[in-house]
Amino acid sequence: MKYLFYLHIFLLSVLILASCNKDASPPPEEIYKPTPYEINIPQGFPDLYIAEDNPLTIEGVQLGRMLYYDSILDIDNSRACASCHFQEESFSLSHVNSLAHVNLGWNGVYLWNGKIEGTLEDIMLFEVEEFLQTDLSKLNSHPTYPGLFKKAFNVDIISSKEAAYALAQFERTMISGNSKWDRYLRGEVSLTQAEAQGFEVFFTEKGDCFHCHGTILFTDNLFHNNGLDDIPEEGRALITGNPKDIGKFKSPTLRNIMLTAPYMHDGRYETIEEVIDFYSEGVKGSSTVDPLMKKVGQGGVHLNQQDKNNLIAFLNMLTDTSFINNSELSNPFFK
Amino acid sequence: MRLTNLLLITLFASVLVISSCKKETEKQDAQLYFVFSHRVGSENLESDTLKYTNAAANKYSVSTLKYFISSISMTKSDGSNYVFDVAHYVDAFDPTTTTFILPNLAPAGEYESLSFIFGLNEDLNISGAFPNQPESNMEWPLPMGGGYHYMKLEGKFDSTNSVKNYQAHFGRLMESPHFFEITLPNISLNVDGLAITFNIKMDINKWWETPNTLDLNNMSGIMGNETVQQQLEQNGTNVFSYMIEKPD
Repeated sequence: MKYLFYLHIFLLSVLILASCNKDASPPPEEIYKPTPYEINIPQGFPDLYIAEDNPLTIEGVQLGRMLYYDSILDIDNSRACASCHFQEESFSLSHVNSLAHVNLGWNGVYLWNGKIEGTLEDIMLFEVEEFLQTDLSKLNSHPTYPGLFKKAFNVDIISSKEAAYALAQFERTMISGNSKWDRYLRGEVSLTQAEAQGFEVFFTEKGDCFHCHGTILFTDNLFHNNGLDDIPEEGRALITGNPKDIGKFKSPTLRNIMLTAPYMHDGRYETIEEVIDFYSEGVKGSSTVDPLMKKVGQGGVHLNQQDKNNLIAFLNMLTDTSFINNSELSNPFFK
Repeated sequence: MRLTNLLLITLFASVLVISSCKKETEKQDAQLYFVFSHRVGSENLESDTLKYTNAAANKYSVSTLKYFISSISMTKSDGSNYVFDVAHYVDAFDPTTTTFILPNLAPAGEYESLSFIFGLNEDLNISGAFPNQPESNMEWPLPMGGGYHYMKLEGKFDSTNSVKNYQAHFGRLMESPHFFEITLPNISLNVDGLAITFNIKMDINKWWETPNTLDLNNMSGIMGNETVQQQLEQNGTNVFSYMIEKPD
């Protein structure tokens, strides 16, 4: 009996010890390993800057896409990024004249007056914190988002940084490089006569569009006063405080330009025809008008109607239907 | 004992002499720096200020001055040379571009002259060769032969009571290459370990001056004008002066 008592005590001790051991060893941690996202850069495009601390991952891009289309980021849930950036309008919106979200990964300055300089992470942080004034508690208490942020960024508490970084990842994938112009450069299609002549108007000093809207990106990403007004608005000077920057605004890309009316920083022109008429006959002089504006004294480059029509034929080539129909960029909440 | 001492001294002296000779003959490669600065006549370059006067009596300003140099070559007295097959983009108003460190060391030796190309040589002047901005913004359009602007020099000038724009855009027009070589002759350059800095100075007034007096009234929309391109090419050979900071 005494033997049985000691055996019982021994077994109990072993059990307790085993149980203690089990409690002492930490549970195996889930290893954070997001899936790298392979991005396709169109032929001839510049090197794409990707922030070292924000590599593209499938989880990050997908999360960014959801946030882009979700009004949860807005302080009063009234708008999402996509509310002013419609895919069918090359991620712009006609009645608010928002800048198109296209190939922004190659930008270093953002907004018409360049208020934000830096990377996509910088501009998205501005959008989250200042423009949308995101209430992070809504994200942190959401049934789905905390898990998605955990998978994408390995965070337990979501901050503005992760929200901005996810948006930046998605924005980097919003690449337009498959217009008819791109296919022509790849030798896949030929130009019509009007397109070829429009190409010449665009890329010679006849129309002289290329100096500000050149390169494969169709923007120099610089600031110019293009002579819209004889008394220009402040423009870039509002940011720099330099009077030499009065009237300067960022050159927008002309990729998908036919989808992004109205035109100019203030949306004053409803049609591309009005824009071309302005550059042809309506340019106004001022002390900061860009030296690239030739014949400013005569109002512009004076194209004839045939040149104007050909130029429009060329600009039509810059519409990338595969971009505006890309299902990987569309609203993920619509099935 | 005396003999041993003598032998030791002789041996030591020989080692000293040999090592000293070796030191003299074994020169070291060296780093080369290029520093570009820009003036207008005797005045410092200041952006967008209508205060300079050229040989054609145009009162003018400079808003933009961007250009390429390429293919830096060092030549020895026997005619042999070493070529740095590089291109560098300079924006006169962007200090990050006005100092250029050559990517590899200059081989040790004595050199008589150094030259570089203003613009891009034919191997480099190919559309798409510089895909990234700001260099890509120098593209010379395909219908005009492709490649890149060698230079964009832009600003305003006062022309009979009205301010006008000028754009001295210089490059290869179709089959006419137009790039030119700048040579720093008789420089007696001893490359031996220590860094050497070439201070290259451009006088913008000289673009309009010698041998062709160029009036800014005719300096707009000139990319397709072969005559003006040739005149800029000729004048360009006179725009640079230099000073070398080298070890004694």
